[in-house]
Amino acid sequence: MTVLARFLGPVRAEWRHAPKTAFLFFVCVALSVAAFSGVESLRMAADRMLRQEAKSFIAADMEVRSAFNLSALVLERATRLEDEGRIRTAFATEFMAMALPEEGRPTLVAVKAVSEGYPFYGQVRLRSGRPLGEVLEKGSFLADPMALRRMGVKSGSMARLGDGVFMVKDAVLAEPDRPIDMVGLAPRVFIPHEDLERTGLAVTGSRVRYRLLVALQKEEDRAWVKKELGEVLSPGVEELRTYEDTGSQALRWLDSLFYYLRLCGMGILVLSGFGIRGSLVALWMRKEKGVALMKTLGAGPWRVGGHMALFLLSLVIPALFVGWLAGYGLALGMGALMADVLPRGLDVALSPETLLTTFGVGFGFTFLFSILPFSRMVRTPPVRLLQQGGGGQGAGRLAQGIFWVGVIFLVFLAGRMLQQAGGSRIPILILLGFSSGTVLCAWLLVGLARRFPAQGARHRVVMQALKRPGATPVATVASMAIATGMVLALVLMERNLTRLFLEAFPENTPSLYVIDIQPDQKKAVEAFVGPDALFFPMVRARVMAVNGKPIDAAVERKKRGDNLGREFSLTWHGLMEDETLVEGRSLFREDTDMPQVSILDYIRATYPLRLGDRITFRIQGVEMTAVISSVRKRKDGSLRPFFVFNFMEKDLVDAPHTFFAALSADREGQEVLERQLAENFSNIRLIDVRDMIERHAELARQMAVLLRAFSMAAFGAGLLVWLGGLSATAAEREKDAVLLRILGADHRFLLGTGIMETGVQGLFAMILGMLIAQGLAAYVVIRGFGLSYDPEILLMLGAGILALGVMVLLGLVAALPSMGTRPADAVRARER
Amino acid sequence: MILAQGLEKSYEVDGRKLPVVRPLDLHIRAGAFVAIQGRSGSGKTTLLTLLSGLDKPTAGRLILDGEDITDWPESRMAAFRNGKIGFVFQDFHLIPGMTAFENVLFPAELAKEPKAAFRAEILLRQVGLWERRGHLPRQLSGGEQQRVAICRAVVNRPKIIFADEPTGNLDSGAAEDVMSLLVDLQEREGATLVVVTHSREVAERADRLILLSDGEVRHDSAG
Repeated sequence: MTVLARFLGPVRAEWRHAPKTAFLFFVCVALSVAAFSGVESLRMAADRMLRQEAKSFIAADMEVRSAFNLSALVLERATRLEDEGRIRTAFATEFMAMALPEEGRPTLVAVKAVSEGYPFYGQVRLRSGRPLGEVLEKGSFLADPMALRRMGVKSGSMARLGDGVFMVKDAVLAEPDRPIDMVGLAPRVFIPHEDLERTGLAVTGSRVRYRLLVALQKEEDRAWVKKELGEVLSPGVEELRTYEDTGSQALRWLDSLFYYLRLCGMGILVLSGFGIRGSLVALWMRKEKGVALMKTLGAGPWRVGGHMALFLLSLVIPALFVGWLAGYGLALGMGALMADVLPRGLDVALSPETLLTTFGVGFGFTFLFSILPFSRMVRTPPVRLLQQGGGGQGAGRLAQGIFWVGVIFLVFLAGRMLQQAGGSRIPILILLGFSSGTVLCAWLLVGLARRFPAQGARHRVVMQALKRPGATPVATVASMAIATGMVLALVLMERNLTRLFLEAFPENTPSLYVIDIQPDQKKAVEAFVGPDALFFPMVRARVMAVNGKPIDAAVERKKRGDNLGREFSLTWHGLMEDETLVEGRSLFREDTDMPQVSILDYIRATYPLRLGDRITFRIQGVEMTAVISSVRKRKDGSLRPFFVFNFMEKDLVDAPHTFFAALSADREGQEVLERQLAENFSNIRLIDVRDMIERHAELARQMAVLLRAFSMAAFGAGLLVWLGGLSATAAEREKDAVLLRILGADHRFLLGTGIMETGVQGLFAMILGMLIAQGLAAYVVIRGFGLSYDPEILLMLGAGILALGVMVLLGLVAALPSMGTRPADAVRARER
Repeated sequence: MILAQGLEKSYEVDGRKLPVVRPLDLHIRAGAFVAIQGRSGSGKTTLLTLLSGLDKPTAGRLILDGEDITDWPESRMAAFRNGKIGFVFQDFHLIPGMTAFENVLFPAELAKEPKAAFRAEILLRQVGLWERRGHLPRQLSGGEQQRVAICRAVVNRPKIIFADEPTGNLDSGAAEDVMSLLVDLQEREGATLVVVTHSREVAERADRLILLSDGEVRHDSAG
């Protein structure tokens, strides 16, 4: 007890001595790890799920998948292996179709016809709680609750899928091999595999995914079975996937999300680091005389250091714990907010792993950002007791060395972490560039302001505030600029994307897509949809090679954005209304007889394609090589259908093809049309573009809320740095205010200079923040989305002024106490 | 001219009234050099803050330069201080972020004095610090800082200069220089000078000596 009291006594005294500064330090440390810990908790939960349930992402050990009927060779080999007792197999055939209820609205659904045995891993959860195998008998129809809601049906209702009539038996709550239904284009419907033929929907030219699921009887056969099946695959048509690559692809988009969330988390971490430093400088300013006195009375640096370290630890440990808990809350919040787009059943838990990471990172960060002010504090010479004014002792060389090594290590570590998250180096380099550019600009602006010849008393007081002992205007301006920049960038991005995607829904934008129209149905469909509908032929194909160099589909698919590894729809069509030629004199050349293709420019971001290059396509097993004749560019934000590869009619007309129609109709008219089309053409599928846009908008809103929360946290961290700076100079400001009053300055003068003082730094931060925001938002909108960018100057100015107002207000609130000190008290303070 | 009538200051400590300056009457004529002496805790500095209007008395009235300032609001007092009172402190209290020149210039700018810079230059030249005008306070010695503080105190040609232990932080050589300068400037500007001091040398130079003990005037050489 005595020992504890010996340690806690001085710590308690320190708390009492500077409670506000101690609290600021506490909040900075807690906030620094909260965002980081929140993102990590969610990411670890996703990783855990991925590791534990990887096999369930394909519901098997491996699968053979194809866009066409599985080849006889594959089926024979699988049957042989099954007969030998090496494997078990099941079929899962997936396609989109219109489900037509007896009454209610025809609805586009994602059908999965599964055979007995499915799923080998994971579980299909039904509302009734019964096993899938028991419910999914011949003629049954199990649907996602969203599908039931849209169709307006319930258990026992009848629904048509193509030519087959089914009875709704149950609702599907979760399925293992569709962990995320992010787009929500079409809700899931399960039917028995034996009923597939009855629907008549899996016909040539339709978009069907045939999957043969394979479960190993013995784990050690994995490589052998893979080899056996791999030998008989039709190249370019059939593909063998294992749970490892499928699982990671299923959650690949999550990597992107975590990548950006981690960037935000790190931004907040660094901003809070500045706050930690600022609050410690403030503490040092208050403690300097006390430390000098301790040293005068005989305390050595170890004694002083130990005392201060104990005090800081008494704040850091509970702050990290609070930060960890806040991070957990944040992860839960993020989980709830993104429930629609995260893997179902994701379990965010208070794990020792996150606790260790949080404490490790938190201690490391706090140590790094504390070491310089701590060193200055410990090195305070006894003579400071007798000295006036600023200056004081600098940090020791060892501390400076540790700090810079730490900074370099931190940059390296951040780069590694972000690269592991699958991100490219470019955003990191851009962010690093922006950050260092901001610090440089802040340094230049503050330097210029310091040298600016002051005009008048008020101006002089404002300028001297930049040179006050303890003032760190460069760090304050830079941190606040970065924080403001993050918030404003998000506002700009949101505005630009909303404008382009949602608000700019032009009148001639199609509201309904009709797909999989067979050539012999085209005329009949035209009669229903009217002459204004646009029809596009579609030929399904894969890119096999460019200039003879084969395309590695697996490598391609790992690229962010679009890639050449996917299946494409080729078409023949003239230059569309929303397209312009950016290369080539005309869509097609007249000087060659070989097949020609016009490409969309955006695909060149994923693969270097030039005019004259030869692309080899495989169309239902038949290869065709075409030369690139022109490059097209689409108008930004256009919602009209587009095709990456556009051919001449003569080159594709003989290939198996279907038609795609895009039309525009009002809501009521469209519902009638949907019903008519679904009743008359059971194989075609309808996509309600309005509905799709609304769902995307909802998803975008959820993401915006999340990003807004993060950017507000960043702004909060920036404000903490701001407060830290104010706190560090509080004593000096109070002295200045008293002195100014003695010299004849009245309250109005003090208030004016207070506003100008915070206003100047706030203005610098606002200007830099707006520049950062414009740069970042323009980069994301132009490079990330390939859209045109509107700088929204008025909105930007309004938001910037609002941010400046918050900074000035906060500065004033912090400055008010110093204005209230009576001159006589200050004069007498020396006597006391 | 300073006229105090029944001037008194006391504090409430644990419900008890603690007098710091007991009721006193004082008249200091314009242009006089008055020294106030007393032991520590005798109430010297409190009396100075009362006489200069930095603090409000508990009772009594105070007339400075013919104006009864007792009940003036702070904003009016601030303007009065700026134009008519100069202060010199033991700890100099220069504004740390301003140069020597700016420190001298500041009160004149505050008063919107049209030739503020010229006046500041003359003063700094008079005290031999013109060459050091660009230096920040921390770059000056104690004696130099106090000379800058004196220039600042007289830059607006005040009617009264209050100095609280102006030589308290200086060695004897610098103290002598500073006092000579202060008295010289006071005489040249025709201001009243009230100095709180422990120094016998300073007190000996004064026209009038007031001795304070337990908040009461024990001796006043003016009789």
